Amino acid sequence: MELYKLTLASILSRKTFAIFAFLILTLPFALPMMTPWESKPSLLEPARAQMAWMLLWTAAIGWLLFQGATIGDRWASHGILEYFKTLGVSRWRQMGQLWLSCFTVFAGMMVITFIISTFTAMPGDAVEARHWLVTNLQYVLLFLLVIAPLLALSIALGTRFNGAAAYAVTIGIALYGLFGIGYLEVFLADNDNPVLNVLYLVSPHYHLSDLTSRLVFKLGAIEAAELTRIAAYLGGLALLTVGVSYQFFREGK
Amino acid sequence: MNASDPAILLPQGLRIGYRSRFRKTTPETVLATTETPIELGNGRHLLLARNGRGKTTLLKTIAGIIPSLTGKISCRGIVQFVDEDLRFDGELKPRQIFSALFKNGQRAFAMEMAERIELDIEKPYGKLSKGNRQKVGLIVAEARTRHNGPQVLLLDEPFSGLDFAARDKVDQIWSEHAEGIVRLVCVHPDEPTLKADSAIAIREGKLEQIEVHNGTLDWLETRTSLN
Repeated sequence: MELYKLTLASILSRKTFAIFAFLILTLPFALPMMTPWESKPSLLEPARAQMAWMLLWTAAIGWLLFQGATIGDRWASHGILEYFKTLGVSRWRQMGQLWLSCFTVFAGMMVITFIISTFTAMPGDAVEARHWLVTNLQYVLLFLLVIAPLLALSIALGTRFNGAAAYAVTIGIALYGLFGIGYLEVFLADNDNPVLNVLYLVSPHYHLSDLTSRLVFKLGAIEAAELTRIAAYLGGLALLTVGVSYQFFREGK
Repeated sequence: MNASDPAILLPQGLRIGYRSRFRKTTPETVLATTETPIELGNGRHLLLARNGRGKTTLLKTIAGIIPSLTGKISCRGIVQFVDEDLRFDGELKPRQIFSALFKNGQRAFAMEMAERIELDIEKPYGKLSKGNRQKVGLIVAEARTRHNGPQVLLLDEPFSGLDFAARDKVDQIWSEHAEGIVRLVCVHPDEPTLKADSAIAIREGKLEQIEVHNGTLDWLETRTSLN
């Protein structure tokens, strides 16, 4: 786990994570207070949860994927990965250790988000509270199924190309999967275009993992069968992404 | 040579160089070949050649980073390749690097070696001079050899940027820890301060072993023969 420790030390010494951690810790409380919440105080808590999860998505796309892309780029360009290769550390293990080092720091942000969203915004009613907790847990699961493989992809692309290109590609895929598909869906509702239909089918439907509106509007937890279907779809996509990432990953440039 | 001793074996007919991974019809670029087998055992061996003749390619081929064109190199021992361009993050201090990479005895050795070769372990890597960065790579390589088992250490121009005093101290440390380690050290022929048990040279595309008498090379002769 030396590559893990070296990369973790590098991330911690750069300290950029602290900015996002600070924002995640403070903005869910501060920003809802800047709205005219006095007119309907019951909206304050769902707004806090919404803000917490939105900030986590922002940190994932703005910080985590960037870390992965630049670390992959730096370590491959600086000969670190080739050095570990000569020590017998395989590509899988190298990719895994880089992934884990980035995720170790990000896990802290996830925990903060989960605590804020669950315990500072939980409804008073016992049934609603149970649903709230389960929805947050489901959100964590689906969020992980999207972000974890994208991190592996950003690392792998960083090792092969460069940090900027790797980040641009990964952020593009993430934003398209989260928001772009929504526009495509609207377009397809009015136009029957076979090419776009195929594109829609093969697109990564990451928006399925975004349960923010479910929390805000208190729609309750996703039913088990539905959750299994979504998790299986995102899990399959995750396996595919990790497989592609492995093919792109290389130790030297 | 004992079967448990570290060794590098370059077979007869070994060819090192590059071939295109995508265009199979592109001819190979052969940098060097062996006409007789070369066996490097315990001790310090120099790798000599002029620029672009395949020194780093040979080290990378031995380390398994790139494949040989023909022939199979065998290594007995834990292989480490420390590239001349090995760089750590600029924000990391050498102390943090050693703490991340080593524990216990190896870490203690790294700290002790840093003191001996006068490396400031509290200064960020990005602010170290070229020579001091080279010291970090050398320490990483040496500290890792501090455990049981045979070791094969491949060092690509480890002394570039190091002053004479640091070279002498590294030389001394190598002499103190010579057992169970093959050190193949790539150097320019104009670095006359190193001792060696043997040397291999790349001359006119051929990998050849050069005799070394009394642990020192005839530098002038070597330089002339490489031209």
